[in-house]
Amino acid sequence: MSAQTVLAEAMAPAEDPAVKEAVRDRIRDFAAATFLVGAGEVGPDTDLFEANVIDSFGFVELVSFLEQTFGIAIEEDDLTSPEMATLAGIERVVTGKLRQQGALR
Amino acid sequence: MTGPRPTPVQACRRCLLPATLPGLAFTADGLCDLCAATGEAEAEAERVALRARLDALYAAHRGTRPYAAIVAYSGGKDSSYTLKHLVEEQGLRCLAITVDNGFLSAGTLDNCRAVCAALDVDLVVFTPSRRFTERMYRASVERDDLHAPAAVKRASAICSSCITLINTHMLQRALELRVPIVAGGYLGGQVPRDGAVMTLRPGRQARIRTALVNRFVGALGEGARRYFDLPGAAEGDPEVVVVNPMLGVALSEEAIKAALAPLGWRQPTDTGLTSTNCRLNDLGVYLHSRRHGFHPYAMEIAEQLRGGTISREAAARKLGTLPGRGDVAWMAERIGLPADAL
Ligand SMILES: [Zn+2]
Repeated sequence: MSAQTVLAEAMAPAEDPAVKEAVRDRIRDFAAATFLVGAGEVGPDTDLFEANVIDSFGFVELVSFLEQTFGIAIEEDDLTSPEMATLAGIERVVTGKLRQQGALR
Repeated sequence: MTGPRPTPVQACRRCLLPATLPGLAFTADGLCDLCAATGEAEAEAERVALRARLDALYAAHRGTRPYAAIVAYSGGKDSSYTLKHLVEEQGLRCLAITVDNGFLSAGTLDNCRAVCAALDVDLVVFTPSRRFTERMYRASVERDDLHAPAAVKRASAICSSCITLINTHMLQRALELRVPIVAGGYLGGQVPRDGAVMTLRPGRQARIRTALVNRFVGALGEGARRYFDLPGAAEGDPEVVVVNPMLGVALSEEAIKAALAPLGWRQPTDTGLTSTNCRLNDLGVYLHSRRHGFHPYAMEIAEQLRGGTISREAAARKLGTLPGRGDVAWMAERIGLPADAL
């Protein structure tokens, strides 16, 4: 909810570094609270499935968090994309969709 | 989000989630962030929307196949109610599958047979190798790498392993028999809110499964593969929809038991403190509470409190009722835990 407000206030294209940073922070905070991993334990390119951070329930929680927080739709192709296995990849998926939408909601 | 805290919060004032539950933050006025995020009206609206989604799904599959749904049937009250709901209210032809983990209470299989007979449902009892399951339970206690760290929020390690084996077995059978729906009797808090309806395409969603199989095979040897692997995409990538209908049902435990009585379901008397079907639950609860400082049922009881299906007193009583060492020692011994593990 709060990220939505932050992002709505920004109303900027996704290339804006401040927006990218907000997206990154929001995802990291969610991952830390939901998957119980500290920032030091998981790098941006760590495979979250192989590292046993995200299980199938965790993935369901992740997808609905992304959809609700950023107002985007995670499609079937996204679900099977290797991008969804790392924090950096997830950020790219989100910013890519925000860019497609032209502006941030 | 977390405001200044004049006194440390012990538990959420609405749902009783304890501050010892990892990853939880509290607002200044003593609400956990889960309660702060969802009001009662929102939760009710979510439940109504979910029921509509489930109804549409059932309508699409009613009468289309020999079995419209496989029900993961533990014989406990929640999966018994799930089965009744799907058969009687939704008109789905179901196959009930019970996994006998070697620790079912004496009355459980009687309940399974009675309820299935009353509902005119086919029942299969699957008994995995006792030697394997006992090794799996022991490994669940002794290793911390079988489940993702966040799994501690939902269930004890013993239960998580058992649930993983059971869920996989249901999916294996659904893929084999081409059954479009797998239904579990899980409650809110035992699965994520969005776990009420999940579409699975094993061939396309192999990454999480591969990681899971590797963990269990790594810990328990190649023999584990048959319990945790799923057939791949070879058969045209069939789709299975996994549903947990109880997430759309707002009934108290008493109401559920009352609805089951006419089907011949009886509360077993030897299940220990924390379950209506499995005795091993108590060992899981005992170890989990000591290791993590909170009851493994805290999340589901919190959901019941938010949904108004349990009283505060009953919830507090459940959270405060912990099995003792003497209640669980025989199970620890049977799965090969050393005496000092308790
Ligand atoms: Zn709460």
